[in-house]
Amino acid sequence: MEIDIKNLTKRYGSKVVLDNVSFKHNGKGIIGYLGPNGAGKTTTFKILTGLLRPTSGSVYVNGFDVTKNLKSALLNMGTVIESPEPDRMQTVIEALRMSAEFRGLSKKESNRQIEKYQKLLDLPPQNSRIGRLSKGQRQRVSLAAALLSEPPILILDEPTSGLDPAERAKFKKLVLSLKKDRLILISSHVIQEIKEVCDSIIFINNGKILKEDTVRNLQKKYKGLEKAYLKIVGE
Amino acid sequence: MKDQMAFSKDIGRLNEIAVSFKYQFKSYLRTKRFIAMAIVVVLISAVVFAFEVHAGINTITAEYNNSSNFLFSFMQNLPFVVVLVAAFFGGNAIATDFSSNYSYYILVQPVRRSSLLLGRYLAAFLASFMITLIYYVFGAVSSLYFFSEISSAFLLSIGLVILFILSVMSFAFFLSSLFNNPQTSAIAVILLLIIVLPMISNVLQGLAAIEPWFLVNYGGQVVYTVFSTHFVHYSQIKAPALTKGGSFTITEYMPYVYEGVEIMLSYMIIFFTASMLIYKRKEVKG
Repeated sequence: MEIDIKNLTKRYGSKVVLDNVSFKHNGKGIIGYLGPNGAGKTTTFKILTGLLRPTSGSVYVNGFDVTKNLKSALLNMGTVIESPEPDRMQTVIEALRMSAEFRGLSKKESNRQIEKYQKLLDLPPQNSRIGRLSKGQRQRVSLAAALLSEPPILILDEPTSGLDPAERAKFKKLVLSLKKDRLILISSHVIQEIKEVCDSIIFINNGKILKEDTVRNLQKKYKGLEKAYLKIVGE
Repeated sequence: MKDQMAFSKDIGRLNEIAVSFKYQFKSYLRTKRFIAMAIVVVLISAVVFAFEVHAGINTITAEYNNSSNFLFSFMQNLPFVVVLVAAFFGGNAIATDFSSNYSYYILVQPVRRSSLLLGRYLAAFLASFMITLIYYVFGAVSSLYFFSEISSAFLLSIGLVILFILSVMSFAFFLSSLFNNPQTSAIAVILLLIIVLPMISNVLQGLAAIEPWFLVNYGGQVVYTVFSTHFVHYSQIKAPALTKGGSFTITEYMPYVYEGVEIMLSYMIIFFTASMLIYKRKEVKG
């Protein structure tokens, strides 16, 4: 399980959104990607998943270069970026089955996995039309779709946005259980959320990586994560 | 270090296309526009049929003489039907991905964008073809009602309409790839295909006597000209001008079948390839 980003830069015209970003993580655990709105978190994740192309630099997911072998890279990861919305005309079961079929799950595996995440994520009834679901319900369906094939890497961009407190608590429990055998990169601007689930944190602002350390070290050094955030990010 | 994935495996290009097609087609069948288009085409076909029935069997058989001539006339609305249906299904096919959060669901699936697009293209084609067939059913029933036979060119016309739908769909997909807003895209496609291109075609032919061999709506006329028993590629008529004593000439072209096929094939290949290239490179910004 490995994410390896080297000298990643993304520009829109003269505006630099990511400036020479590099980090590498392997093994299990949860890495928090922390920064204010507009820091470059979502841009990094979009490049990781092929939604954007880098201006320069390279991104490898489990050894697969996302610019050259995106499909293999995507087979190795499950992603929830922004607030994904499956086809509004599909039912929950169809949205999940489509995702399972694209990932090569057999019908038996697909049914078993859908049943598993139906319970774990408290998904809406399988015949509900996506277009009629709340934002939180759609978010959970998207998360289930990302998890169906049990990918070794998860990329979660502010995954709790749109979830109510009870759903957030469930999500926290799920993520903590998933980290036992996965590498999870999770972005947020909510420090509390990051503190509760992450093993280490990467701070980003204005497209630049400012610091990277374990939660334990940061807590110890700055006497709390909030203080660390204020000191490092300065906002 | 490349890890073994728990379940995930590459399903291959053909399966990718099949999965994309299957779910997109199901989705199209549920849309209001599928039902609305089917109703519109039933209404258009029924109105044309009703006029013919109202005229009476004797009048129709005397006027057209045989099934081919009758279908030549009946099918003249068909290109409009095809363009309308294809524009509705293809008009926002690509723009939808980049205007909504659908891209965050569909474009992060481990599937090539080219397979996604091809599956969607085939689904849009099949949905359009199903609706277009309604018009053919009415044509066949009318022909049997008045002449107790169906022209031998009927199947050829169906073959040509398949090509026409594919070519118009390619053009609609291409236009859709240029926009980020699906509503703008759909309106632009409908305006261009239903108003602008036919207008250009009429002006070029009628007033400048230029054959519009580069317009898909011109090439698509072969879907009904194959029924013609007195095919004329080029004709001119003199019409009286508004000024006293003056006149002007109106030119009309009818495409040869091979010519129509060439135009439609060119549109299908060029514009589908272009939309594929744009779709593969398009980024999800914002």
